[in-house]
Amino acid sequence: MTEFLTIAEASRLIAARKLSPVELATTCLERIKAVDPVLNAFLLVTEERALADAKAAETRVMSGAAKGPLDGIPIAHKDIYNTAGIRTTAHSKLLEDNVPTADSTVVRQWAEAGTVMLGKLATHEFAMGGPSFDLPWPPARNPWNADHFPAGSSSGTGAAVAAGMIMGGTGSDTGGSIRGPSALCGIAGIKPTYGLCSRAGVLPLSFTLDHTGPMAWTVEDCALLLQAIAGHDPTDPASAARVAPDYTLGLNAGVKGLRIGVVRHFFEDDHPASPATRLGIDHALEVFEHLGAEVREVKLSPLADYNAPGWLILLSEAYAVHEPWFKTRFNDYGELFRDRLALGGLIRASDYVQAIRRRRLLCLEMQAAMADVDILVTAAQPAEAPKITEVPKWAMLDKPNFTIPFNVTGNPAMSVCTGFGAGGLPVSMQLVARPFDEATLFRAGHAYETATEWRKKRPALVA
Amino acid sequence: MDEMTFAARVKATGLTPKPEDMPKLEALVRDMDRAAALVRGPRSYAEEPLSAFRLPTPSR
Amino acid sequence: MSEIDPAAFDALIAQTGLTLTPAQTATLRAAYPKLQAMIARVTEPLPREAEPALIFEAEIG
Repeated sequence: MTEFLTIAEASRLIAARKLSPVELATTCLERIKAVDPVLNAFLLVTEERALADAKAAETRVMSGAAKGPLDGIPIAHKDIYNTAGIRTTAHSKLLEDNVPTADSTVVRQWAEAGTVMLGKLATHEFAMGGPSFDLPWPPARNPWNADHFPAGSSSGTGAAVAAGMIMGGTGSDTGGSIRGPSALCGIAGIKPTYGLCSRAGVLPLSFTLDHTGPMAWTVEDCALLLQAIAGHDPTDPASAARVAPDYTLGLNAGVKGLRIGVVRHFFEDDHPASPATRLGIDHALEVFEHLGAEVREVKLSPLADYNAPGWLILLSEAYAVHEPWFKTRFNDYGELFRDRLALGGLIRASDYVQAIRRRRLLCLEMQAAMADVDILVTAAQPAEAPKITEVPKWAMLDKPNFTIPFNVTGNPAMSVCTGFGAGGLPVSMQLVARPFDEATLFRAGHAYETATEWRKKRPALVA
Repeated sequence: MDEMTFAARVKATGLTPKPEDMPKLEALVRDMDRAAALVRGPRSYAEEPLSAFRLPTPSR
Repeated sequence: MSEIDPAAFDALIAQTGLTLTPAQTATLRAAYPKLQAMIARVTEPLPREAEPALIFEAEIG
């Protein structure tokens, strides 16, 4: 159980019939049994389903009918993705017994690509309330140090991927819920362009900010996972009428000639990041320059100017979703979600409208800023993960976060691990591209990962 | 809605209507509240709004 | 950012129709100034022609 493979490596071995999907699934299930009692990443392990999926994949491979690079790859879903016949709870007492009758689009797409489904993953309650200790299930913990926070809301996915319990998983991102846990758990995670991946069948938090997307150990694995879910879905009203390119084609093209803009004031002035976070970003910029990219500084509006409309829109839209339950089952929610979202009931309609007017101007600012750069680099998180018991209730209001600006503008954005801080936990950077240019994001992220050593180190808990 | 509550509610908006306009305003707001209660009717949490976020594209 | 008048805050809470305990109300009262600061940022004057980022489309695709 000491060997860790990436999806790309496992995929090649499976295709060459050197690795059995059943053995791979069994290894992951054994790892879940060994470490999940400490990490609480899973709300439900679907062992029988996993073995059935793995046997079906093995049969296809052995008969020359493999479906592609995800055939036989062990994955799991954040527990806000509807799964037909399998409990989907949003980590909340309110949906403790909720069993959907249909799969969400993304769940169906990954199943059709041949993935092996291992179960449902912990989340912050309804993708916002966490880390909470007053819910029917405990919060997920950080595999690098189980006393620490894995970030959220896709906390189970971050923990399960980093600990090698799954090779990839779904996250959702409304203000940073893919990129936050990817950053603090030391993995890669992409929030694709708004409209690229379907939200149909995923429990909403905020309709106009919600994104679905993959999380995995490497950037390359994220590209493989995204390939299967990128594209138009007529059942999602915000879905873009676009055909996704082949993300693997330019993956190894390197960054020579790429123009990279660093948004330094976000993490030096607006919300000063830790020395290790800054050092990681500076080192990454040196790597990019060494590989032939051109680095320059880019100025945007202050981080707080992006956070204000982001949080006002998020809280207003989420309050509208939850208002009926707030009226009838207020005290069935956990304290964190309940208190945070109740603020949404205090936002007036005109303030919401001003926020969405401001949002358009910020979109235009971002578009102009990216007119002559291909990638932006900034922080994804301010520092290493704090202790899980020391996360403030109003963290999102106290200091502006680095991730919500790109939910506001819809640009694709990805967390990439840049090393480790003084406490031995991961630090990271955030890469941002123009809308629908995920390919350039993958190209830059993959170039950085292959030029550095960080992907070789796994948490001591499982190494 | 009692008078005190309505006065406080107006104050929360930052508006300063003339005292003689308050009864008329309160009646209007009562009608508006009734209309708002109608649109709060039960619906699936998955029911999407009709206005969608659209990314500005260079061609637009 | 001026502090909200207590009666005006109570009116905002009453408008939600939620039944809150005194402790829950106190928690929201303490956090409300942070929300007010965000509201102040988005309500700074905008050009009159600044349209919202959400688009109504008459034809549902």
